[in-house]
Amino acid sequence: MAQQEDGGYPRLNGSMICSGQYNNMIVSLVGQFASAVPTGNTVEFVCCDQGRATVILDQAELPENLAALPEMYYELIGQVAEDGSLVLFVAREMSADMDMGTYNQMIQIQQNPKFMQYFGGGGGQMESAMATN
Amino acid sequence: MSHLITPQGVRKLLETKDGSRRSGHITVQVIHIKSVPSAQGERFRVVLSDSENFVQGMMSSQMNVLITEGTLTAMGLLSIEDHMFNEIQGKTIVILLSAFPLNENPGFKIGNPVDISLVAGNTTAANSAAAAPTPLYNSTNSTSTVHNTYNTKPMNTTSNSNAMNVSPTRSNSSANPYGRPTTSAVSTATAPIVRSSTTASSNFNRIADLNLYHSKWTIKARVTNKSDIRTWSNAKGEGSLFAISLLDESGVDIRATFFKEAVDRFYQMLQEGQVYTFSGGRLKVANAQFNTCKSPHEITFDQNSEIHLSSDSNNIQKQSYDFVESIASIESYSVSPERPILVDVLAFVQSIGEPSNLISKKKGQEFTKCEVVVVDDSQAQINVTLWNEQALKASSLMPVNELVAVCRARVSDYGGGKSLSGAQAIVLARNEPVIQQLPAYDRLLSWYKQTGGQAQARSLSGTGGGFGGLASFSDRKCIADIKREQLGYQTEKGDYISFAATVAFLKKDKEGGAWYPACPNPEAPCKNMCKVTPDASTTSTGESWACERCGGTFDRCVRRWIFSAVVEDSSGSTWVTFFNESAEVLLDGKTADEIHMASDGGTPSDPYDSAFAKAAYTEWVFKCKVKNELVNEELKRKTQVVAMHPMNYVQESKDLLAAINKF
Repeated sequence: MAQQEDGGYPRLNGSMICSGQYNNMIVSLVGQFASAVPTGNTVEFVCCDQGRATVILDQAELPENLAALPEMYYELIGQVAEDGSLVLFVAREMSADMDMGTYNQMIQIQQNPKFMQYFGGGGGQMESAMATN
Repeated sequence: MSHLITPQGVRKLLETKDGSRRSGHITVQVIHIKSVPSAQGERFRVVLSDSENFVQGMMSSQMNVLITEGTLTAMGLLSIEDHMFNEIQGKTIVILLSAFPLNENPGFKIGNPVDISLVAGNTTAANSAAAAPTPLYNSTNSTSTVHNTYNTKPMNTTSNSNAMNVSPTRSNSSANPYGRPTTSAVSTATAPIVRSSTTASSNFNRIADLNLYHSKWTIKARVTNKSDIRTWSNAKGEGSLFAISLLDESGVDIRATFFKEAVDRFYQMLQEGQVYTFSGGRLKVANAQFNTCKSPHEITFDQNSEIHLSSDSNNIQKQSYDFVESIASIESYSVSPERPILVDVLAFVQSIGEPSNLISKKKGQEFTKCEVVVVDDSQAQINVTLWNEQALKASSLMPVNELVAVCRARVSDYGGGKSLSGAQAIVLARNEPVIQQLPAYDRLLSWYKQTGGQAQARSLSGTGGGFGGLASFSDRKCIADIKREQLGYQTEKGDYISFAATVAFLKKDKEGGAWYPACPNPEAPCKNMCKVTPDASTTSTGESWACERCGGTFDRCVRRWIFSAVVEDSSGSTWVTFFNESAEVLLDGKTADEIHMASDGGTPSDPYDSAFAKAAYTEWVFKCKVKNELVNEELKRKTQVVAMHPMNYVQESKDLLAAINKF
């Protein structure tokens, strides 16, 4: 379990959330919901690298306008479970025209050891004075 | 020094073999130089001597510089490389086409030369010539071949006193080889008659050799370019015209124009790419402003001109190419309106913009414009502006990722950078065997294979390019560079810089509003830009404004934004000035008049404040001009916004990520 700076959270994509490196951490996932209708208490989420993550709806509900705006991109804040799924705390609407490719590149640069120092609060390994948001 | 003079040089000048008249460096002494004003500007008559004989001569206009710059002076020696001769009013005149002066100038006339026209006998034969001078190289007119008085086949055994011994049969007994024979001599002469239908190309005049002394000539040339028919209408009348470019074996091309009836007769017949023979046209000095061809002359054809399709075209190129070394080399060209620079560029098409329609402010004419970016292995790219028909066909003329040849495009430095405009022709390199033989072709192809043409090139048009052409990411700088690079001190006109920045502060609180009242006169000289002052006699019925520039008095004015602001980026901040056009962009299209009216004509208020509030902390990519100006006897750097566009976050992110990855 990695240390997490107070107030900071790493931004992940589909492959990163499954890696196990971020288990039990509070993270951010940006992408689109695969479906407006949950299957039981879970729903599939398409991350910025087109990888899929399972979102658990025990502690929060799906956004109200989800069905009406299927193109909308959301940022999900939640905790990573042991199996790599995300327990949703809150979902924020972003916009309908986010460029996922560029976003994916950006979060990978954040993880790049060469540049990690410039991005605070994420990764959990290093301390930084800068807030991510 | 007399040993330098070619013996019998004057006679040799007047000799020809097989219609050729190349002198192969005949050195003579120029014993007299006289300036002669003419319709085409100053001309120089000269007298050329080989110490035994002298002959009258004339410098062709391109040779004038030798005299005007003092390189050739009277009594100096001149080595003639290329010349021709002509009969004018019965006298033979040697026209110097190419020559260079020797350093030696004896300072006196060598020998005691005698006029060569008097040497062979009396001058009556010369006077028997018809009044009109005739050029010697007209191959279509069979009578004119007899004017090849220096034909090596002597026709008349009686003409023996002439050392040249070349004159054909004459009706008079004088054997003056310089005289023009009468027509009866023509019919009995057995000199070879040159017909235009022969395939020997030497029977045609070369475009490179045409000059204003030619009154009759024939050229065989390819139509490399044909314009659309245009109509004109002015006080003198109206009509239609079209123009073509002609290229022949000499590699020099020439512009030819057809007017009115000639348009009807020849427009459909002439096809681009085909070869024709042309005669019966009128030569004149080319208008450099409009003429993109190499020849210093241009031709006007009328409905009586003779133009025939020719089947023999092997030796004539489809286009003549003279490519610049690289796109990067264009950066150093200095452009002036008096001396337009035309270039040929061989490069890959990187991207094509959307064609846009514009209306000319002057004439209200609508035209289409399209910007294309080309790049080559000098890691530089440049904008090529296409107009009208070319703009509409941009994607087929210049397909992306294709190697193209842009011919005779004008180099422009509008807006501070370099761009190309008005190309005479654009061809795909893969369709041109001539281009494929050039080393540049292989070099560019292999560069493209290795890099995909994607290597980040710097744009020469980036900091310029007129119409809102803004810098690409790699050309952008930061605010700190203004000071660091001492911008504004480099050139008098000012330096350009592009950078991304946020509007940090807007100095809007000027009394009366952040604008100035401008003249409502849309015509020159004001063009809605000159400041007006409120007339002293403002009456209660309304306002009155007076303009000093155009002298008009108006009941209204046009308010134009002008204010300063501070813009900031990660490297620092700077004051900039916004003028009307860029201010309107900043303020979301709101004009000063609009805000003024919304403020109820009174002091600025809510609509005014909210327009500025919206603009605060917005992010843009600015293009600014930095200049140093004297303010209160002190040199101050002034930065004004010339163009701007809103930050495109997606593209910016991509560019930043690419730059980070390269780090």
